Amino acid sequence: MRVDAQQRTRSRYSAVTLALLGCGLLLGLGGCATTGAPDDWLPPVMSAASDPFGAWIHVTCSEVSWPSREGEFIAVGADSIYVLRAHTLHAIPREKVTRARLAFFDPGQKAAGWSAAGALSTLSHGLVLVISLPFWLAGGLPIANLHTKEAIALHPEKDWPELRQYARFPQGPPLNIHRLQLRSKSIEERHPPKKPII
Amino acid sequence: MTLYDKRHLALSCLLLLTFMMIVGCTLKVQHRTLVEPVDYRSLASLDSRSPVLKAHLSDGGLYILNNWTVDEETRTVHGTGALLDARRDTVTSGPLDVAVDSVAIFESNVLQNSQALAPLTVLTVASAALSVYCLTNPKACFGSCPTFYVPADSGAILQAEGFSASVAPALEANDLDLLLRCRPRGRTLPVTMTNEALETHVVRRVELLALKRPAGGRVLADHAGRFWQTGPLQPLQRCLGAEGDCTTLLTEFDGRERFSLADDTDLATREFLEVEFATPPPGVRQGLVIVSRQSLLSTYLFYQGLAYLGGHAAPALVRAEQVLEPVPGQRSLGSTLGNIEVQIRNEAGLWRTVGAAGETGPLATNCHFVPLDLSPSVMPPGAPLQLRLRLTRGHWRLDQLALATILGETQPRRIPPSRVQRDDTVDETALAILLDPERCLTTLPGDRYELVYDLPACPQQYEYCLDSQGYYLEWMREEWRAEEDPVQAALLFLQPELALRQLASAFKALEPSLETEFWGSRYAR
Repeated sequence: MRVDAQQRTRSRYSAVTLALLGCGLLLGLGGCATTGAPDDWLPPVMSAASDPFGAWIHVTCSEVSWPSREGEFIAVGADSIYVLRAHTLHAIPREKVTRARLAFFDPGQKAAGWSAAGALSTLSHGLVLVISLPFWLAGGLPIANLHTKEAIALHPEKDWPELRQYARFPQGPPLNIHRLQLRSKSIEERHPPKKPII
Repeated sequence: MTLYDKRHLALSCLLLLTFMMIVGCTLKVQHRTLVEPVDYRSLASLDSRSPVLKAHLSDGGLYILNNWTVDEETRTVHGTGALLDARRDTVTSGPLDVAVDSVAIFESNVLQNSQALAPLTVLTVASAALSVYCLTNPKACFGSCPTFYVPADSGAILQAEGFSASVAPALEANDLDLLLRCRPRGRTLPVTMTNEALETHVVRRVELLALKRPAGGRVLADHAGRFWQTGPLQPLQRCLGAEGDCTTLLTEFDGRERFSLADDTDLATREFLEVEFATPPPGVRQGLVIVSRQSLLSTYLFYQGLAYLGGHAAPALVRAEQVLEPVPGQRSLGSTLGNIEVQIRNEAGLWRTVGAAGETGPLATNCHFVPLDLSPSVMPPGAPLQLRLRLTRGHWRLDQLALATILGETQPRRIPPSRVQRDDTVDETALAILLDPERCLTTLPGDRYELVYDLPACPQQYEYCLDSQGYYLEWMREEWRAEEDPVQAALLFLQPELALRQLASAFKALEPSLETEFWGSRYAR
């Protein structure tokens, strides 16, 4: 079968379009396994070790009288967990919590960016990209999501004694501290949102 | 600088950028550990890899220390950093000493590679390798005819490649492939047909053949398409090649193959394997079982031929009588490379060819059966059976040799597909096409069809074979057109013996990496 010049050009444009669409898809969806935290809350992984605040937590309760809460994870007590939001400390009975989701660092978009670059590189594969590009798309999205999930801890998959490490006070609620004394991260202490790589 | 060179340069830059991202952008995760300073031994468990140590106090205060050290004698931690209160306001900063007894809990954080790094690296390396390899060895990024996957013990495996030699409409043919490792589960057999190459596949028919197996035996197919019921396979006793004893590689169909490298000066050079089996029972007809596939030699030569033909490839293939399939008496590339010849000694003690086996295609391993006529004059009673295989060096990869007693010829039960699915959706149109002998199903790169067959009762008692018919059209690669050379094309297709001597050095330069890189990139899944 003879492939004429027009068909070759169309194939080439199709290949480039495919690769660019693939990149856009990866970058757009690369963080679709989101942390749930506000954009500027979580520290990047390289500086998370010295961040003095707790992880971002979202708590779901079993009863209507205990609404869902989200905010900074403050401490794990003997029978309650403590969540700080807008300078208000909430104590939630542990037995009322059906699900909790903690995010303790910002995974960023490196994985998605890397996958996007890999998808772009399939342009060099010629028409073989019809085989290699799907691998990047099929593999890149789960890989980006995998990296995001490494910044997340879930309850009941992990119990509270294990999750306390992500609290502002992993040693437990400090004695002699009035709840009104606690404050949330200030604007200056928050981290600027990550810019897209491309 | 030609357009071809410019594109190479641009693509190389893209690859370099990708590589820089690999080097510069590592993915890390944080691994946190809490340690309660119960006694001096617990201090030793603090992870010294942690660049920052946090010491949480009972009142909610927090020391954040860099360059920290532990003095076990004085039970003090030294470092540089800051002390924060429970509100996380800074109390003091600079060099600090922390009494361990005042600490409620220590926290260390170590950066580790992300779990995403490994698969991402694998994807990147494989993709980059493919990019580099395809740019430098365009004929190494191969394709294939339709490939068929069937359920086996370890999941779906590649079991057949259909009509590999049918590279033009005039060469349309049917192809029989024994599904040796097929393990049907239940009363239906799903066969996945894929187009995993830069080709157009034109598929006229894909039927399943069911052959009742004798108790303890097998059903095997010979080169003429006849089916033979046999007893159980008798193992190989000994096989000697130029490299020495290769018996252990050929006793089982286990993926461990015996193969040789092509000759340095003439790609058509033959080699011999001396094969020996235990004495077969007298008066009972035997047949030789050869489980094998081709190497990439013929595929390389075919693609080289297309490259030489360049823009004239299509009309040339239309006129071709045969290209890859060996035809007795015909001068062609396939005939020059030949099949695996099976030889026995005649009354004069000279070796003569009594049969041949082989099938075009480097992907799927095929099982061939060569019935043997062993007259008493050439088989002294009580003597082991000695055979010889004559084959082209570097052209075949053998997985198993065995002997089988022939019980009789048998006929298959033909089963057309009962359902066709594409992307998990029933495709009635494709089914109708495959059931109509006047129509053909055309597939393009990436297409994937699941053909479902209804099996007879007690499906485990049957041997299964795929009967596919059609042809396929190779897509001309842009890189190949740069090699257009009508003289060389004429030489390869009209004087293949001479061409195979001329191309030996070029092929030998690629041969060491050809198989490894192809399979490394071919099966990227």
